[in-house]
Amino acid sequence: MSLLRLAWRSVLRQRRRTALLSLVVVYVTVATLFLLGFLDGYGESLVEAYAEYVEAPVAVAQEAWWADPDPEHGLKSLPTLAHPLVQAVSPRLSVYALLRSPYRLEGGLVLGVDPEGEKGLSRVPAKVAEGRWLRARGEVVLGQRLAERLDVRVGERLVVETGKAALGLEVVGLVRAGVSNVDFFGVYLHLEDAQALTGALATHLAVKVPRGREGAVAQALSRTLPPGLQAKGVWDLMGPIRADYEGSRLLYIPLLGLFMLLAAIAVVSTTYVSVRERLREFAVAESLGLTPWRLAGQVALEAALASGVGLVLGLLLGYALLWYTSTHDVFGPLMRMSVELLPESGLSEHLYTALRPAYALYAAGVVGLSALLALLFPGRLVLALEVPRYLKEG
Amino acid sequence: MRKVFPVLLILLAPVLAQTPLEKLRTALDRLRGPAHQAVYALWVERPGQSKLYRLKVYTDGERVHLRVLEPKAEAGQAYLSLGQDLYLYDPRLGRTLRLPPTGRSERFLGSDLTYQDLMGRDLEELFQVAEERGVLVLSPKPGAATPYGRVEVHLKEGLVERVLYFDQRGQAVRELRLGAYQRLDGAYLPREMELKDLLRPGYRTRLEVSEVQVGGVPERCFHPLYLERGC
Amino acid sequence: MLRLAWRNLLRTPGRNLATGGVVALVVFLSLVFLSVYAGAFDAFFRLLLERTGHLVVRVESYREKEDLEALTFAPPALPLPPGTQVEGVLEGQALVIAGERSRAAVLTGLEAGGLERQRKLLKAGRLPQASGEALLGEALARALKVGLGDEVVAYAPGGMGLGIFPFRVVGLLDLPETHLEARTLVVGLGDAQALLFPGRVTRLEIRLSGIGLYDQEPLEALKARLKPHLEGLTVETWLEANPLYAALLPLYDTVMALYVGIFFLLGGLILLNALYLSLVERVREFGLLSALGLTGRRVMALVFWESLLLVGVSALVGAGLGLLLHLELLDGFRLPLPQWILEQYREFGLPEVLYGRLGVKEVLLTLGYAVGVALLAALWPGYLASRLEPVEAMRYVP
Repeated sequence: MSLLRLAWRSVLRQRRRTALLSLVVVYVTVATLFLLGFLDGYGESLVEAYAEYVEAPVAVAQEAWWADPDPEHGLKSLPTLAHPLVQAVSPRLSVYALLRSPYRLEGGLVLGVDPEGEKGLSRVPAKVAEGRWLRARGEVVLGQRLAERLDVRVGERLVVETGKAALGLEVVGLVRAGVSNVDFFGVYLHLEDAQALTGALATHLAVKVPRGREGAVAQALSRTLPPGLQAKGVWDLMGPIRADYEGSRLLYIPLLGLFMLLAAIAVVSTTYVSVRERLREFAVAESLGLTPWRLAGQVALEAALASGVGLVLGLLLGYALLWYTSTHDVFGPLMRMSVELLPESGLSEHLYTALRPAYALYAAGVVGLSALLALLFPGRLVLALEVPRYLKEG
Repeated sequence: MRKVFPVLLILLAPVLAQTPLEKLRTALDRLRGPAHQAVYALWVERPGQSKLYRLKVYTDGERVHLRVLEPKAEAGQAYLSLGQDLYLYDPRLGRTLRLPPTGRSERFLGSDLTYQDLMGRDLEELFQVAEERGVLVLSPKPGAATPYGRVEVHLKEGLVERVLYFDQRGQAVRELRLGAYQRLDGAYLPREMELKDLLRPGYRTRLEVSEVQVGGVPERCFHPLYLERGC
Repeated sequence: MLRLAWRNLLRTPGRNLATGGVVALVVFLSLVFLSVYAGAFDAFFRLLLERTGHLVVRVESYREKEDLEALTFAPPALPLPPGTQVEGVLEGQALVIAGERSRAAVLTGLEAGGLERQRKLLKAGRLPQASGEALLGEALARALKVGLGDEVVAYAPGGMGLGIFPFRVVGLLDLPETHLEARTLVVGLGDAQALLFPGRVTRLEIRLSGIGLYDQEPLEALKARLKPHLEGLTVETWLEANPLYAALLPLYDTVMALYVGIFFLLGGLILLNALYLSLVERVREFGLLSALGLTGRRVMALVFWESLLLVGVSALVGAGLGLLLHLELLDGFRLPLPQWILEQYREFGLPEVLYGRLGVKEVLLTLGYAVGVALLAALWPGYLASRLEPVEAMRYVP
């Protein structure tokens, strides 16, 4: 305890120095918190978009369907899923179709769903901006941007054609989900209509499981499913955008490490000066019986305390920034531009940063690193101290 | 006069008693004419240009076999409409294809006519019929695969004279006029057709029927195999 | 003064080496980052230019038109400078049928030059050499369950062409974007015209030689020359033809300045820290200099010189190393990421192999940041040093 008090006093003795040093650590801490919050927020927005809008937390289909997603490889019967974490299951039938309005024609994937079952699984039914969600056969719900492209409105008929059959469906709702794939390409119709269009039962089962458990549940399900069936978690259902997330982590996290190292070097420079100024003080302490290692430990503690001050301030500032960006749509304009540029990506129009206590732990790495470096460099000054020389000089 | 009236009533009764659907059916039966073969001349008119096709047509009133005679580049192409199925033979392809259902509502040979106008009975199959002031008003049946919101069929003496297609916003988008009906073997055949795209001025297709031979068309003409061989 | 500053720097080699190292690292990282960033940006836009051509001629108000008839035109003769390539392209929607499967696709008819440009996208097979041969996007081939040598039928009625055309698949294209790959059918222009519209094209692509990637002036000049010859047609530069992407261009400078700023802010704070430490170590010495008659302004200048020297030398070292690495990047490089990620990045228009680019602007920006940081960081320690009272300073005990 006395060691801590001593170190603390040394740090406080040079307030200006500590303040300057803290600036560096504050900056790095804020950068660390912000980047981690941004990357996690980006990941979460992707998981949310794919789990709750574009795909599902977990999907179960025939292995052949995963390789060639055509209704001919659809499910022959609906398997029962026995897993305690499965919260809801609903069959879906995904099929390529031509959409014909009186004015335009476009090809794309349409999704046959059970209107009620879908409500328990997906947030798309709750995002109908105009009209309503599906209730019965003969109805279709479209992404708002797709409806604009096709030039159809609520109440009008859209012809959906597959190679086997055609149906005229009434547009009952337009979805504005803020998720690119849904708004630009979403076509939802009653499962029975999709069955009539294809002759298939369903192509896959959409499964709701708690957030964060998607991969584990998918693995567990795959082990218990009948042969030929395979479950995939949301990360495996994601499109190429996942690579952007993973790539960003791989590029930015080492950069953060470098930032921390540089901050620690700054801390150690200051500690070095401070130790050199007090070499006589250390010599006296050693002559009074303190071991060199204990003194070196004190140097490390000083470095840790000096950077700790910056860390605390940085955490306050960083978390305040994260709180703001996690509650305000600061990145909205950037995301909306990305959505326009990459409508197939499944990007969400909004991105809120994540805010997790664990970031403080990562940011505290700078304190540990400073202490370690202080032990290695200024600490060595103390360890190599020639006590008699300094005492004589006094 | 009092004596004449009941007689007239008895004579007109079958007509007066016809439901709108029956009227449409009768009119469509007459639209396709009796079993016959003929040469159809098709002018596709666009602003500043026009293209002429000559087609040989074989029909029994329900099914249609159609072969392109001119222009030379497209000669040999043949189409067969059997209810909901539409087949196409192309000499360069060297075989017959069954077109996906989408093909039925496509425009035929770049004209404003669809396969449906020429060969189909969609008006009867996809729409429910009512009558308003002497005009048959067709509205799509639930689930019907048509992009139109309403179709008006104007009859004159039981023959289709004009068909007006409306989009789902109440705007007329295309107009088909039929005329020069010829009574053949107890049935009728319109010898002139004109289709206008009402959204695009200058887009018009005219059709004239000539060299009509009434009589049974060999059954083989309605087999996809004979699209390639000719019938 | 310069010599004094230099001597002072050499007196604490350890710390100044560390600080200099940080500055050098920041300059190095900035240059490398800029080279990579500009390289990625260029690659993205080069792909766009390659697809579009320098200038594109289309029918007027083509964005509002849907119908193929309204979108096509007979290519007019254009007065083009020698060495300019003009290629007609006919593009239209077609239903591609293979057995029981069919997909809506974009059928693109290309002249020989356009087909040749597809060579580097060719994953299997060869380019079409005769009528009736086609290239199919790999994803489209997968969806239709066809491979090399198989036949697909393009069905596109409604135009003035034949409306149907059989093609033998002779090559499979690996396009960066899977969603494009899933609807790409590329054929010879003659075949496309026979199918869709004889004698017509939907666009003319004009390619010039010897023009810088973002050089718009010669394009604007040629555009003005062509305009009188284009009745009912419109000519656009490649950036005008891709307005969404063009909107990204002005962001380049901002993002570049922001990223480099993030590095330099850290470098600047560390430098400030080092200069201050250097000051506190030499308070007595500064006091002595003041007592010997050195004015406050000269003391301040000394601190500035020290800062500028330290940053200058470090920046030169960092810039040298950065430029050396840039020379390597110039020959092509892959981002240090797993292969599967690089493959997926292609979906967003980023090729696997990038080529570094450093313009004068980028180097000046980095050096400008370095000098700016050197001056700013010296401001406060310089001010403190200039205000030292000689007597107090000489008695200073840390």
